[in-house]
This record gives sequence, C-alpha cells and structure tokens, in this order.
Amino acid sequence: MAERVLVCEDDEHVRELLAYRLETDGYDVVAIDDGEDCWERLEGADELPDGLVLDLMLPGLDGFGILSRLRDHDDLEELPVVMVTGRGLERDVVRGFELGADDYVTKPFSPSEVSARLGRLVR
Amino acid sequence: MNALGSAFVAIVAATAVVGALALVVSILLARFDRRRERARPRLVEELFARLDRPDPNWSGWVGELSLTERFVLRRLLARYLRQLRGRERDRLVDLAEALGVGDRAVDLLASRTVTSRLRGLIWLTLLERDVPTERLRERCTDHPATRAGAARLLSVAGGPDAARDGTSLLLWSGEERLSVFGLDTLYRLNRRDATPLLAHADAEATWWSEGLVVQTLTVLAHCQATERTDRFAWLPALLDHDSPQVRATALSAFARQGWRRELRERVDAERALADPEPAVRTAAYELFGKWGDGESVDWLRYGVYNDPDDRARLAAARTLRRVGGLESVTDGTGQPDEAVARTVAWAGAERRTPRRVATGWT
Repeated sequence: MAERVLVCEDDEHVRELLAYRLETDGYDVVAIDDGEDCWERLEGADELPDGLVLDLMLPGLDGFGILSRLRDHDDLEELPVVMVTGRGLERDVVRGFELGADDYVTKPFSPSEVSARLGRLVR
Repeated sequence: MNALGSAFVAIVAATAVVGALALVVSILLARFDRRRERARPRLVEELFARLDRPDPNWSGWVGELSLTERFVLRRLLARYLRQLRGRERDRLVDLAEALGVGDRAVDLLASRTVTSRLRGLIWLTLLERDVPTERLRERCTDHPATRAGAARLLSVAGGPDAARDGTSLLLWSGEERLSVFGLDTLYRLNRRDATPLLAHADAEATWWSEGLVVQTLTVLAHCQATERTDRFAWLPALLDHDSPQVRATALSAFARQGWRRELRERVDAERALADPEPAVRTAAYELFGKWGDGESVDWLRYGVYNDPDDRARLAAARTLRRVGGLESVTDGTGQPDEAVARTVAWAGAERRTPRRVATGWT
C-alpha cells in the first residue's frame, strides 16, 4: 500500500509540483494550503499520514507553529517532517531542526530531491 | 443651446463613450481570463505528464497549442522556473526554449523601451541564458534598472568574467545609488571573492557619490576577500570621511579583514571611540566584537564604562556579552555608576540574540 503524505504549502504552483512529483514516485498525496487546516487534519485524523511536507510561511498557523504542536503531541511527535521553504537563513534552518524537523529544503528546490529525502524517512 | 449647455452635453457624451469602452474592454478581458483559467488545469496536467518522459517532445506539443494556451504556459513557466532547481527545472527550460521564449527575450534587448528590455532580461535570467557581455553593454547601460538586470543575468549565466563584468555594470555611473535589487546582485557577484569590487573601489571610489560608497562598503563587509592587502589601500582614508555613515560602514568593512595585521593597525580605536556620532562608535563596538581578541575586549569594556550615549553603550555591552566579557565589567574594578550598571543588567538579561543596531545601512 502506498505511503500517505500530507503536503502543506500555500503557493499553488509549488503545491502542484510537489504533489505531482510525490504521486509519480508512488505516494498517496493530500495537498492543502492552510496551516490551521493542516493542524486540524493531523490532530483529528483517524489514520495519520506517514509523512508531512511542510512550508514555513503559511496563512493561519505557520510551519514553526505546526512543528511545535506536533512535537508536543503524544500521537504526532514521531511524524517525519520535511520542511520546504524559501526561508533559508541559518537561524531559520537551526530553528526548524530545534523544533523537530527531520529535514529542511530551501527554495528554489528540486522536487526529486524532496521526494528522495522524504523517502529516506518514510520508507 | 448656449456654450455652457453644449459643453455639458459634450462632457456627458464623452463620459458615456469612455464608460461604454471601459465596459466592453472589461467584458473582453473577463472572457480572456475565463478562457485562460479553463486552459490552465489541462495544460498543467499535460505538462506534468510529459515532464518525466525520455522524450517529452515539447516542440510537437507547443505546435498544437493556441495563442491563449501558449500565454498560459508562459505564465506557468515564469512561476515554476522561479521556484525550481535540478532536473525538473532543466526540463522546463527546454519547454521554454521550444515556446520561443529565449529567442524572443534576446530580441527584446533591442527594444528602445526600458520595460521591454527588462522583460527580456527577466526571461533570460530565468532561463540562465548566456548572452555575450558586449551585447549587454551595448543595450543595457543607459538605465540603472537594465544595468542591474544585466548584472543579475551575468551572475546566473555568465562565464569566468561574470563577476568582473557584472560589478562593472552595477558601478557604471559612480553617482547613482543602487536599488535593493542592484545591491543584492552586487553581493551575489562578490560574496565568495570580492576582487572585482575591490578593484573598482581602489580605482574609482574617490569619485563616487557618498550613497554609493556606503552601499559598496556595506556589501564588502559581507564578502570574502583574499586579495592582497594593498587592494584595500583606499579603505583607511574613509575612516576620516566627513560623513558619519561612511565612517561607520568603513569600520564595518574592516571587521572581516581583522586577520590582516596591516589593516588592523590602520584602525585608530581611540579615535573611533571618541567619534562624536553614536552610530560610528556602535560600528566600532561591532568591529571589536568580531575581532574578539584581548585588546578588542578592553575597548569594548571601555565603551561600556565611558560611552555617553545610552544606545551606543548598550551596543557595547551586548557585544561584550557575545564575546563573553560582560561579567568583568562589575568585577573587582569598583562600583560602576548607575547608567553603566543599568546597561550591563539589561544586556545580561536579554535572552534572544540582540537586534543589530543600525550602523550606516542605507
């Protein structure tokens, strides 16, 4: 059965590209564009996704906020997270890892690389 | 009908015509927009379907598309190319070339209008197309925006002389300050090796406008430079410049060069700490913080005790805290006065990395 991945990215074009690449590489993808929506789906999920691809700058709840909540939640703290974001300053990368991201990719990005990094965590 | 009446009728008639035209244009544009919106999902699906094929046959596909579909595809490519790198990006560049975008962009460089040339430069940069530097000099030096655009193109697509040629374009006039885009491009061209920037400054900085000098120094402060020390011969004189902004940013530019003994010795610490401008003294504190040796720590301690300006004194204390010398301020040297004690307490209590105090950033 295909691994399920949640992609949370508010830029339509980036979301399409990520969803396309991950689906082509065999994942079952759900793509959403809002941080609050993302958190609600994760918290209320009957079945958790196998991985999360997360943008940082999101409407509603941002990527750092989602990460903090994930790592404080008993059922969600182990969820593999790959951040894909335009914020590539050292302090952002460090903060992402400190908050529990498993990997961090800065834009401009390679969808194939994101898929490979996710695969290392999920498969 | 009198003249006033005639004028009134004419105005009403003109308004009605303009209104009707606006309505017609709006309706037409709305139709075009809807047509484009309908085309988009179909094009995205087909584009992705072809992206991984061994031979996507972009030319064949493009040949079948309508004008509207090509328009939509160009828009999509402009967005995708900004976000991507790697294999998918290379494929999309091929698609853009099949659409004729690259050739059209080169043609736009011949346009008389700045906006058309900028459009051409944007596409050429997205495609990372190599355009001969002579062509860029020929067509892009008359306006600061096109000079910056051409420099950016060189920074992404240029050959071994790209940094030199791009820097030359940006510093062409010597008078005009760079835009934010131009400043960022100057940094990108020189960040790993500031040789082109140093060469230009060495030869021309004396004639530059104050604003351009400040910008150049600001960029230099963030670049690597392994050039021989005499290339920096123009820098020490700026420590005595009339403008406090220039003095402050000159000190910042020295920060990264602290390993060059000959340059360190050219910084008169006493003079910098006696400068009447707090921004200059703050820049000096930042400089000493970057150097971080024993002598620099002593100067910072001096600044905490003696700077007459609260903000500058706080900058000294923060920098001293960063290099690990703040405790020594109240350590066995007698009771500091109230202002100093307050400053030390404040700097010590700050939990997050302190915001850098502006030191001549323009």
